[in-house]
Amino acid sequence: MTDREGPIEEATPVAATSSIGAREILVAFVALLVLTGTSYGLSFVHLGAYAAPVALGIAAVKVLVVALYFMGLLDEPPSHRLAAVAAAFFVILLVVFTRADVVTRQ
Amino acid sequence: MSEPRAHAAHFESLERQGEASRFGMWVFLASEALLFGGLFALYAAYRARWPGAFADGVAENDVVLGTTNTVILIASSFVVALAVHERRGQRARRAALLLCLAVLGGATFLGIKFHEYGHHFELGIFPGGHGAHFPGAQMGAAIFFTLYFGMTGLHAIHVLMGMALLVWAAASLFRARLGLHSLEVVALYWHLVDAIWIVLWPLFYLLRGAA
Amino acid sequence: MTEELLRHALFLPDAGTAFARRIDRLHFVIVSTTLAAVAIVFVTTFVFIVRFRRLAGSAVTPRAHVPWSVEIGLGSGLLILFCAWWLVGFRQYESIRGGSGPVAVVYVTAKQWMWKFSRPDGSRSASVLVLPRGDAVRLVFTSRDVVHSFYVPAFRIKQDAVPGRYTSVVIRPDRLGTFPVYCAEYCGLSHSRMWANVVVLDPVEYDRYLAGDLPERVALAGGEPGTRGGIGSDVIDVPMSERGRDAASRYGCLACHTTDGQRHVGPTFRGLFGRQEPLADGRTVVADEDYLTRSMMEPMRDVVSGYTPVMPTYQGVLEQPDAAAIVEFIRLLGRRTAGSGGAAARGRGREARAELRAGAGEGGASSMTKAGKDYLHEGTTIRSWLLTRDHKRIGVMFFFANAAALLLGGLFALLMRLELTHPHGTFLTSMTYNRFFTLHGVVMVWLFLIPSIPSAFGNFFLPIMIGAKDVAFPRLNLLSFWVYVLGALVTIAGLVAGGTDTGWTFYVPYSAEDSTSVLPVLLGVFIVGWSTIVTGVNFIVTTHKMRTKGLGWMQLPLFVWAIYGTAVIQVLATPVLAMTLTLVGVDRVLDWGLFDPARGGDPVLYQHLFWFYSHPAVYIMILPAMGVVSECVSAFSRKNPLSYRAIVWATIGIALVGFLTWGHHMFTAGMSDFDAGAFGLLSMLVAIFSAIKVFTWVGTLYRGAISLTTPFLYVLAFLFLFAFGGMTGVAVATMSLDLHWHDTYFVVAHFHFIMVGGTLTAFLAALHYWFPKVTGRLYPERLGVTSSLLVFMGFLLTFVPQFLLGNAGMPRRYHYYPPSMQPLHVLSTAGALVLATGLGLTALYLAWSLRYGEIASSNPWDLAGYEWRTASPPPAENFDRPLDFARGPYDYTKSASEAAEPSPIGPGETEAAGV
Repeated sequence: MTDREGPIEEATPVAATSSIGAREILVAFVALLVLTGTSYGLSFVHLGAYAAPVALGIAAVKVLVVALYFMGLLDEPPSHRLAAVAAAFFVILLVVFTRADVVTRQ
Repeated sequence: MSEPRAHAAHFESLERQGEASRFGMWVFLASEALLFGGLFALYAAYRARWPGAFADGVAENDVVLGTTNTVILIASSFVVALAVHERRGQRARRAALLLCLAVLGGATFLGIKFHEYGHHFELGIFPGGHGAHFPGAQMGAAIFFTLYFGMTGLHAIHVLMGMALLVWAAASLFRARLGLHSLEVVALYWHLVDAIWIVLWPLFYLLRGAA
Repeated sequence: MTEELLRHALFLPDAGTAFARRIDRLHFVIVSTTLAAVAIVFVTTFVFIVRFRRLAGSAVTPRAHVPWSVEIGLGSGLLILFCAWWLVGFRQYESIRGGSGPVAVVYVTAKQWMWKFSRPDGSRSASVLVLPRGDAVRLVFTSRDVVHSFYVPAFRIKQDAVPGRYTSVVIRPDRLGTFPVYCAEYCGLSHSRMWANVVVLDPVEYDRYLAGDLPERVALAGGEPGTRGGIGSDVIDVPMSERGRDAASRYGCLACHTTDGQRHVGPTFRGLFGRQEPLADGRTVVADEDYLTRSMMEPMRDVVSGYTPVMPTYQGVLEQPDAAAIVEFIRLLGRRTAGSGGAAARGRGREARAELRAGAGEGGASSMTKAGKDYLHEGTTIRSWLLTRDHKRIGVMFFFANAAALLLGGLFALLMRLELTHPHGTFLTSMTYNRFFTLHGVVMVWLFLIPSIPSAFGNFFLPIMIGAKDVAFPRLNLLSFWVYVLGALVTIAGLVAGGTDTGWTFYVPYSAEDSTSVLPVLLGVFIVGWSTIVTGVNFIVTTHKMRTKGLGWMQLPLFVWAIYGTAVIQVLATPVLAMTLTLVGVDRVLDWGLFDPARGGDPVLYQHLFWFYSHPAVYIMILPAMGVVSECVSAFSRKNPLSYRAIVWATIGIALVGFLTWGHHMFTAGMSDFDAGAFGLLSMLVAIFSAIKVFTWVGTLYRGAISLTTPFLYVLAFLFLFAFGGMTGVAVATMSLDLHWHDTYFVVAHFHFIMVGGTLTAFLAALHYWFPKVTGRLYPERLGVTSSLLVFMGFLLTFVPQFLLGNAGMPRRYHYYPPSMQPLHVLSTAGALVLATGLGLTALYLAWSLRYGEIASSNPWDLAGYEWRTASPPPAENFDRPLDFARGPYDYTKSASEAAEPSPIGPGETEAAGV
């Protein structure tokens, strides 16, 4: 997505810092594995009507972890977070209203 | 796509340009999410209409293979996040090696995915309700498997594109020609691929009960 | 009595049910409110123009302030009114869903192109539905092929018949008579002839009918479709030969038999009738009615010598009336001179294609208009244009590409209008007509309206207005242009070569099964969609990251806000369209059948996805237009906007709430009552934001210094047409009224008021407003004023009759229509010609001005906007001097000399700069 104007060379060192270091990345990874395991385990428990909300809830938390730590959203300005929130909001909107039509038909 | 020594003429600073690139990618990823959004909406609506057929369809998939793939993608995403961290610390070579590892993860993921597709074909399950499996199946089974092939297939295309970007980034890093900001943008794309699979996994492997 | 008079005045058919009369009452209330609102806008504007006309060239005006309470009060007042309409409408809408007590049931089965009715006792009828007066009847609809819509104008009801599903309405006719039934959902070749009659009998007669005795009225209405005569107000009487032509193409005859004298798999139909034909077994036979009918039913008996006996039998497939009609068609083909009929139709196709090429060529050639100075002078080779990364040049190239699309779409609109001057058509076959409206819709929506203002003017002015040297990603910007060109070429090639006839909405299952080639058009629109997304990403990032130092969000020109809001919609809505069209395409190629009822699919879900994109797409078209209007209103009244904040928040509101209303396109589609009600209510919200904008624009004129220039005249046209178009939008979003208006010319007129009356007039306003800045030349003002009046008058004459046609029950996408509607159609066509004249004149004098226009100064209108502070045309780097962004773009409180001094006072309402 970048636009190049100058010659292709290594950038001069920029003082690039981030509050997300190797340790934070590792913790996020472990958390994701734990959540994956939990979700896998719960899929063998009979949860009835709660199965889908629980599985999707765990998935949502995992996506949040990926966005905040792996994708570095924790460090980004609000406008970048807004893009992510907007995407989530409109996907949910589309899903909810479309499903509501089928669910509420007589 | 490589980072310039100096920032482009129309930007104030390199920092600003990097931020703009990342933001551009975020906005584009929002667009990508909506691309999948239409399919998620169809899944949600059709699952409400044919709960039994969808539950049976999920049971047809191999949960162990699906979960293995989930772990592989999460691990590859982790590795890419580390690569960005290494590049930030000016350790380009290590970053490149980590990207290679991630590419390997992507390839394994696709290998398992195609093995699953092959197994489905053997059972007579093809997209569009074609194949020997369907005459005996419930109404709605065709829809489930069409969505399955469509959504995982679209995701697989994204995995391929992500892998291509990763290979390019790794090659550029080995030749010390890739700036941090370009790597960040590539990494964002790969994480999206991971995030989408995280949602697909329960939909096609875990929700075996007709609620 | 008064009601009857109003019905006549509004061209409404007589009401056949109590429900219809209740709907009409709501109709009268809403129409009067609409007219009153438009009158208020019109009169207020007129008074302000006279009272506050500009006397001095560079007038100074006081700053306007409006307290929040006024905006909020206005908004909530309207919201309460609209919600009241919604409530009444929703209750009426629910009332025909039945549920109260057991009622008689009639099953209605739709198939291309007829209606069949059956009752639980096993009795059946085709094309005639007989009902008793005074009893409630539940009609249960389904379809055997594509989506149809059962529409009885006299009952003010419409309900889609969806394959694989059952939908129903309850009606209680209380008036004796025969009432026409139309199919209102486009369903293919003979869509406009898929009619039936409802005959309402008194209970005694009805019992006789049920007992098997056919009352005269039923006999008259009955028989096969297409030959009904003598009853009802509208006699649809199509010549037999026309029916025959349709039947011949529908049953595939024309795949093997030509109509132009050429030998094909079978003998040509031309001149066949009455000819002596030698048979394979040595006999000869005269091709008379007998022989022709026989060869349809038993083709192997008398094979003409020299042809392979491959024709299948049509016994049991072809119904007798159709067979007779085909014979009649062949008979007439023999008599006509060469050059008429099918051959002529193909000839016209070739002409149309030639014109297409001419149109595209013109656009391409004229993009090399003029090499002046500055950004135009930066390089004069073709390469320097085609591969430019300068946002200004890309904007100019987009403009010419869009203008070519407008020309093409407009040409086909004109051809359709000419065709519709006669109830049976004048020079097109139904097939060609259907292809024309598809081409018109696809080209206008995706190739003109959506990219027009953002890609052309947005590209040019967005960076300048935020003090940037370029957009954030100049190479992606160029890529977007070429992706657009590629997509446009694929789309047009598909439309012309493949002859797609699905309409621009591509509704499944029709688009999945249709025999014309749909795939290239789907692919083309898909490609154009990516251009839209890339441009949207670019504009969003540019607005966030490229603003010059110190230029906060609340100091941005309103046009920037409008383009920003548009970009958000482009990025979030377009991918859903891309996915949806991909699914249709994959279905056609690989037979995935994701919406196929036979496999458990639901065509209505396609409509959800389609409108999730296509309703916000309306705001992609209108938001930039509103941005232009905000700029021009301030510029030509030399006044700051009445409330900058209100416009900004309304822009954001429209961009977001526009996503919540898609279901109001589906009130008759078989959606659940819950979803319908929710979407109905949410639709009322979005109108509030538009109303606040109109209020703010009109209020801005107060105590201004108004000069009636061409762009301002276009803006006035916009205000008037948008107010009317917007109010009729609220009317069609009122659920029960939509049952009557959905898929009729009322809706066609409504959205043309928004898209042509709104977007096109704003496009023309922008074109004149910024013409000096872009080209460095002035246009002739007198000609500008003349053509703007022509455009406005022509527009009204074209589309006001279409509102009345809709009231009268004229469904859209109809090639044939009842003769009683002809006068309004003729008026509409006359209007289209005037409109075309106005646009043609504009093109001529603007082209002339490129070379011969007076040289423009950097600020010919003497304005405060940022873009007027650099040279005309701007230099490649956008600014020839360091700009002072301290004086706001709408600050007319000081004289020009004072304003030259840097001023501490910010623009609009200065607020803290956000991110």
